[in-house]
Amino acid sequence: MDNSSIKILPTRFAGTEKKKVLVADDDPAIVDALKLMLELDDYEVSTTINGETIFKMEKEYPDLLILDIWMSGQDGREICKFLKNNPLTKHIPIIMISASRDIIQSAKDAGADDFIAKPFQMVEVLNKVEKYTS
Amino acid sequence: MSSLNNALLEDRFLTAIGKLSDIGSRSKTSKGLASLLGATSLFILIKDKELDILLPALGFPQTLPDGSVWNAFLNECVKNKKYKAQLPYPNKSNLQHATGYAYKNECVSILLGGNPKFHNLEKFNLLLPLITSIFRYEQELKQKETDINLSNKLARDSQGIARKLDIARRNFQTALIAKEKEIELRNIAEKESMHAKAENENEQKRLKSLFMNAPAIIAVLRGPEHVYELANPLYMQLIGKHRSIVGKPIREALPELTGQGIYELLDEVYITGKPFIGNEISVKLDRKGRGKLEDGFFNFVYQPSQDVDGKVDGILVHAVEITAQVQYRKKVEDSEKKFRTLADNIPNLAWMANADGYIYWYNSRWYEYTGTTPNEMEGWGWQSTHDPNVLPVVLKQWKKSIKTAKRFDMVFPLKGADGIFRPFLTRIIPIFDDDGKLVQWFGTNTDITDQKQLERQKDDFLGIASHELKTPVTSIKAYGQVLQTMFQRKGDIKAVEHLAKMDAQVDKLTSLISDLLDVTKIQSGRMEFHEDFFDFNELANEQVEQLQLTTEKHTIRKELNQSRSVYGDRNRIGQVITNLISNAIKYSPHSEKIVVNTSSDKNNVTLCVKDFGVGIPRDKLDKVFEQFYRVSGTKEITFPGLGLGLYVSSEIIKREGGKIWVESIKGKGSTFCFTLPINKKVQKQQINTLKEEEVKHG
Repeated sequence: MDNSSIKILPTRFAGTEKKKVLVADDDPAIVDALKLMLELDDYEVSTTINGETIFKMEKEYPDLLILDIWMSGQDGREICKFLKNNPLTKHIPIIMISASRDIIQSAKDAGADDFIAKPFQMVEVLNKVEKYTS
Repeated sequence: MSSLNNALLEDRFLTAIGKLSDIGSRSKTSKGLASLLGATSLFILIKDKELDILLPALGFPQTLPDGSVWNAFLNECVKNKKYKAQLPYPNKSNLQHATGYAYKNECVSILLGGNPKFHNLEKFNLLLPLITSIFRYEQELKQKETDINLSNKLARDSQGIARKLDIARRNFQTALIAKEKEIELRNIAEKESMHAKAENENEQKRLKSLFMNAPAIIAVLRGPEHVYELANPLYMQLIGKHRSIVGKPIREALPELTGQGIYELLDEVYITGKPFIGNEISVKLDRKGRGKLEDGFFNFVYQPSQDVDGKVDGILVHAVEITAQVQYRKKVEDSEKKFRTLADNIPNLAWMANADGYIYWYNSRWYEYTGTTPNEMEGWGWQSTHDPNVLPVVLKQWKKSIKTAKRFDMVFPLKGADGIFRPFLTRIIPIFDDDGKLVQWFGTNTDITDQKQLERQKDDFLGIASHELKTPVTSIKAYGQVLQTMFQRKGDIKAVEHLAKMDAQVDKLTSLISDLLDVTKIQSGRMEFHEDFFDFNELANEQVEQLQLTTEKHTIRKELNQSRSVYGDRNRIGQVITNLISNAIKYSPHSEKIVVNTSSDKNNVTLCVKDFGVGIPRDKLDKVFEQFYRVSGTKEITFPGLGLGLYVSSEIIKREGGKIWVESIKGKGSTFCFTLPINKKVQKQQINTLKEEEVKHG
């Protein structure tokens, strides 16, 4: 996938610029559901199912990255580390998601700001997203 | 003649006698006498031979036909009645036997005085008694002399006789003593001979008795054909009582022995004179006479017997039947062989040890795998096949087992001949005798490399599977919640309720998947704990609040006392609290109250979840924490679940250094509690050590 897969959506509130969230997960259904969830709360959501895309991310940085820990062929923690080590991207909050709670520590070690376990509660997702975007 | 006195008569008589004696001694012939006499009658004395007396008689010379003898007649004398009475032969015939002497008239004259021609018989008769008495006196005198001479002679003789007698007596006594001695000796000899004979008889009896009652099979064979002379009852019992063998050669008596080598053996013993000792010789006999040969095993001796010249004349057969022993031993050997075959062909390494743990046997698989030799391995040599780091733990447990006679189970690595350590499950079972005394150990080592590999694959599979299951569940749940929000905003309450129910079911599914994943992690030792300090009551409160939302029926009452800060994995401990409260809700469908109580002492915090539900039977209390165990309800009530929740909970609590338990009365409800150490950082080090060992060994 290339940059064109990142969609920019309208902002939540009139006069206020919508917060931009990038969702990266190798499962299209999860990506889609998260997008729907966040859009219900007026976030501008872009998605990718390919880890490579994130490495190539330029200029239009999201306000938040929701990153699956297991991207097909790529370790989400490596992506996280890369972004956090890059001066241009290290300010972007990253919430890692995983089916295994055991990865919390390694997610934190990789520099992730927070962690959400799959399957997630919508409330939890929205609360955490709001926490890191406000 | 009356004037003659006795003295005169006597004198005359003696003179006459003297003349008579002269005459008589001078001539005895009749011619001589006749001439001598020249008279017609004469007085004579006739000597009676039988009476040995002289009898006076008148004799008349008379020429007899032979012309030789004068005969005397006793006419007048014999006619005298007085004298006659004294004679034993009163007639003439008797007198013929008498010998007599005729006296000249001169003699008679001397005797009677006067001229013999004038002698008359009257005078003679008067004189006769006197003459007789004189004769008698003379006779007696002569007799006395004779007697004296005789007695002198006798005395002489008797002296000689006495001497001879003495010698004879001495000889006799010597002979007597010798004879007595001889008799005594003969008696002794006889006695001894009798005794010996009796002894001999007894000996014979004893031998016979021994022979007949000996607990051995005995027979006596005679001659080169081995003719049965004797066979004791046991022998008969052996070959079968239906047979009559005495007097028959063995080839005839026991024909079934043909080809079994027995005849040949006997022949050899007979010929060589050397005994044969056979051990466990198989002999087939037709014992019952049905033409069916039965196997028998014997220890026997063929002992040649010799005649007086030392020549073999027979064979004594002495045998003991050991068929049962041999068969038993063969069975044991067979069984042993089977066991060895089995033991050597099973894929496991196997071995046996004495009660003290000294290993005396390994199967061939052991040597194949380890590449060792029996000499290296005997006793405690096995240690060389162990990982030196693990060995102390193995030794400790093995020695403990030996001491307590309890079975041993452990997984540890063993070095193969290729130098590679592979995990082996080792089981050692104590073997007791009938008295319950430990006699030996039987051990097996099973290579579980493949099993371990499979376990890993299974764990991996379960891990991936549950991860993969979670992905669709995650999107379902997400879509559901999105829809719920959308319907909420539209005001479609009904749809919201349906979707909420769907969401609850998805949560259950999620929980099941989580449990599966957790079990997998526990069993593969990959469950991770992220420990930190947290407020125990705060966690309990959170969990209660959250679960209260899931039930409308139940009221969860909080009794949270004195909050403490605990070091541990907050999420995992929260998972345990959730599990206990969820169970309380699930298993008390007909009651409304659930009590969550926390308490603490110096070292521990305790949390108890009390319900008033179905309860657990006493005998099942220990099992509720086992994997896949589920409390079963009545027929109408069944409870969903995989039976993993309490297992996972108890594993978590154990890993956190705490304890979990349950108290319950069936039908009244249950109380599940756990404690956690407050100051766990100290204990943590020990737990980690434990965990490392577990990972290493199993």
